[in-house]
Amino acid sequence: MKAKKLIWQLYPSYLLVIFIALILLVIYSSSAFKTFYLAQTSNDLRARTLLMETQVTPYFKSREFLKLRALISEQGQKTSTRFTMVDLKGEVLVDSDERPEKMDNHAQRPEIVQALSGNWGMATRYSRTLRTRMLYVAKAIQLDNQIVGVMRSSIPINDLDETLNGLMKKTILWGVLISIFSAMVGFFVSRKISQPIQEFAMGADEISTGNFEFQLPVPNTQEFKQLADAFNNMSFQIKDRIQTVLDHVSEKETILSTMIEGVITVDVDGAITTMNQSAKTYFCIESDDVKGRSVGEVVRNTAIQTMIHQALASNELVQEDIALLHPQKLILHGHGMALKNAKQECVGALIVLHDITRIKRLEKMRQNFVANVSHELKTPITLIKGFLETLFRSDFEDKNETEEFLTIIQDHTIRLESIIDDLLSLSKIEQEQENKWIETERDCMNEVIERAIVLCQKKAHQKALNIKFESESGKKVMAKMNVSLMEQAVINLLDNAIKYSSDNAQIDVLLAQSSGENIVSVRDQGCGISQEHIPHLFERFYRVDAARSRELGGTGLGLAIVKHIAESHSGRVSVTSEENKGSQFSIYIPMTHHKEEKNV
Amino acid sequence: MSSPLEKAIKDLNVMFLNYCAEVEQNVHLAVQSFMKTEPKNIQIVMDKDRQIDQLEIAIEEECLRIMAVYQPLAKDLRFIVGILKMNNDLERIGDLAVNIVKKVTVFSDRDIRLSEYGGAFFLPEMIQKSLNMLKKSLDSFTQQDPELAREVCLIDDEVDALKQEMKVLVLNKMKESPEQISTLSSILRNSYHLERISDLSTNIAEDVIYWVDGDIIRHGGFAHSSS
Repeated sequence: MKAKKLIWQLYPSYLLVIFIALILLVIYSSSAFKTFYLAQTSNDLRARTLLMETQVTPYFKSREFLKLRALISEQGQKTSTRFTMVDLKGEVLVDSDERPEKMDNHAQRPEIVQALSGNWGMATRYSRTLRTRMLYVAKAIQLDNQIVGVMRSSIPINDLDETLNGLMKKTILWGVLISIFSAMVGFFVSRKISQPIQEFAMGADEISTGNFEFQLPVPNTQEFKQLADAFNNMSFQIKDRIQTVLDHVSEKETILSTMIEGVITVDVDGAITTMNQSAKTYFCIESDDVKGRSVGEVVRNTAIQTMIHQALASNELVQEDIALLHPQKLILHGHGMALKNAKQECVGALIVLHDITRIKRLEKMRQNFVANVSHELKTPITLIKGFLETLFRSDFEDKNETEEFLTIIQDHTIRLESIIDDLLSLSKIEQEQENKWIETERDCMNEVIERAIVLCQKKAHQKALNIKFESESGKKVMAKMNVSLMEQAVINLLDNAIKYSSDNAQIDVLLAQSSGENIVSVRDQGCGISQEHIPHLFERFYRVDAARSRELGGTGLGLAIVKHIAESHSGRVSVTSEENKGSQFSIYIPMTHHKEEKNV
Repeated sequence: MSSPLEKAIKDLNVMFLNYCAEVEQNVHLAVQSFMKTEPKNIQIVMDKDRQIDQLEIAIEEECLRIMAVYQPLAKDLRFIVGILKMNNDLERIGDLAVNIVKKVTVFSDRDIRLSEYGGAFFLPEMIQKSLNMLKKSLDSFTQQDPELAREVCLIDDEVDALKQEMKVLVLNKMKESPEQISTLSSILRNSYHLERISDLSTNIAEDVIYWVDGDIIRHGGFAHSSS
């Protein structure tokens, strides 16, 4: 049903009230007027009847009806009244307007009947004789206290009807005018009532579209004013509350998005309600539109799905390690918990994922390290022990054999010593690095590198290698560093380069500066390293080819030491390598040390 | 307000997504176990494949049940037919994962690691490409994205070309060093398996296009006029 406008509800009722009032007024006033008019006219007629009676009585007594008729006709014409005289039987004796012979018997006429009983008779009736409505008044004529006939006078009352009609027409005219006027008044009044209501509706619309700044104009009707004040207050309160809610939401979103942990929340059907950036990164999800989609669609991983199901089904905290193979290799530790509403009903689940790949890797490295150290120390000791036992059993008889064995034992002892030396220096550097304290002095890098080259020259000569040193700038480069550590780092790199180069090859040492860093690079033309080993090269005891390394006298710690030395100088290391073409190891030491010194 | 049919299809979808995840994870595990020579994973992959086979049967029965009970029409019908076909393809992919992982023994029995073996020819590239195809085809299903599915069909040729080149190289190597024939042939066989995986991924992608657009693009787009 279409809603009607307020004005169309108000106006018809106005109109109805006005019409009923008018009609009642007309009915009452016309009847009152009629009664009054008839009373007036009948009184008048009575007076005339009485006057006539005195004139008529003598003729009546003498029964001179011809004279009587002349008198009545004359008087009737003068007063525009009709006079009629009737005897006791109702026969018309004289009439002012009509011949008596033509008239009916009047005995049954109500006014005559009343008059004969001794009272005034009165009636209004349509006269067929004169074809008009008449008012009749009748009185008995008495001679010597004896009723002998009736004297009746009558007068047409057309005037009355005309007057009443006129009155009716005027009333209707006024009624129409008043209803037009009342329509106008009703229109204005209802508009005055409905306008604030429309404004309220508009205001409510504005608020529902989110414009909480909207304030209603305050009307001057008391009730509407209260309503408008309440409304404005409400919109202010809502704005305030919504702002609080929005603040909470944005705070929550900021917290979620900056969290390193991946957070996923789902509803009871397993559709995602929140998924933060970290979680998306774990599963390599690029699309922003994950809300409302099921977890299975977005994350194709059964472990996560199982975890969500468990979390939804249980009241306990669910914990599990999840190993991802794709889209990237990750080990995640997940915590899952059902989300409850105020009625303790489950409304969803929350999954928090920690990336523990690094921790797991470090754990593994530590395990490997202990195993490796034991293994590295065990090998020479087993050999030494074996040869010593042989020596004891042989009673040192064969001098050559004894010498040979002792040489082997010496070699392995040296090897053992070098491993332990390396381990000690590594732990020393590590400690110093941890305490952020290494002794540094300002020195010339060129000299450090040259000294290292001189120390390695002997080994290089054995393989007929040529070590070439070049400084990019051609000038001496000063840097703040721990000279002995830096020298050791360069020696370690050169040592590796010499070990893995074939005879007659060339080794280039380059000192360069780039973007605030001093770079020392050692490039060989050896066998190179395949890509898969490169990330692990600087780990302790990591060897590309264990047997070969041991054969060449490596401890497996050289590069680890280089890395730690670089890091203790706030620097870093890098390696580029191509199989069968050679490798280049670089140490990057930031120049800030140098600048700081200048400022001091 | 969801009708019983919608509910059934939604449940089937969840079931199928779980199945997809299982298959994809198993393929990844199998391929990595092969590349890193990890014999301990062989049994895991095979056990998982048995679960996958069970799931395949369950999904097929559910599809038939929905068809019998609800008599779906239009896109719903295409969805169920698509699921039935993808179901088969994924089960085949699962079997191929088992075939791939079984080859680990060829290396582990000889106590060698593929990583130290001096290159696996184009195997890493093939793995990267065919697994990417599998991922994209499944993504195109979850995202109802026929464009992504069409991309998958294009990569297929690259994998085929890699397989052909690799075949030539491996055969040459076999001639050079006949003592390595068993390991080389296992590498070659796995390249064939990977190529099959990429073919089956293409099938899945085509099924996705059929489901979403109603076009059959197999065999050079035979039924384009029907759309």
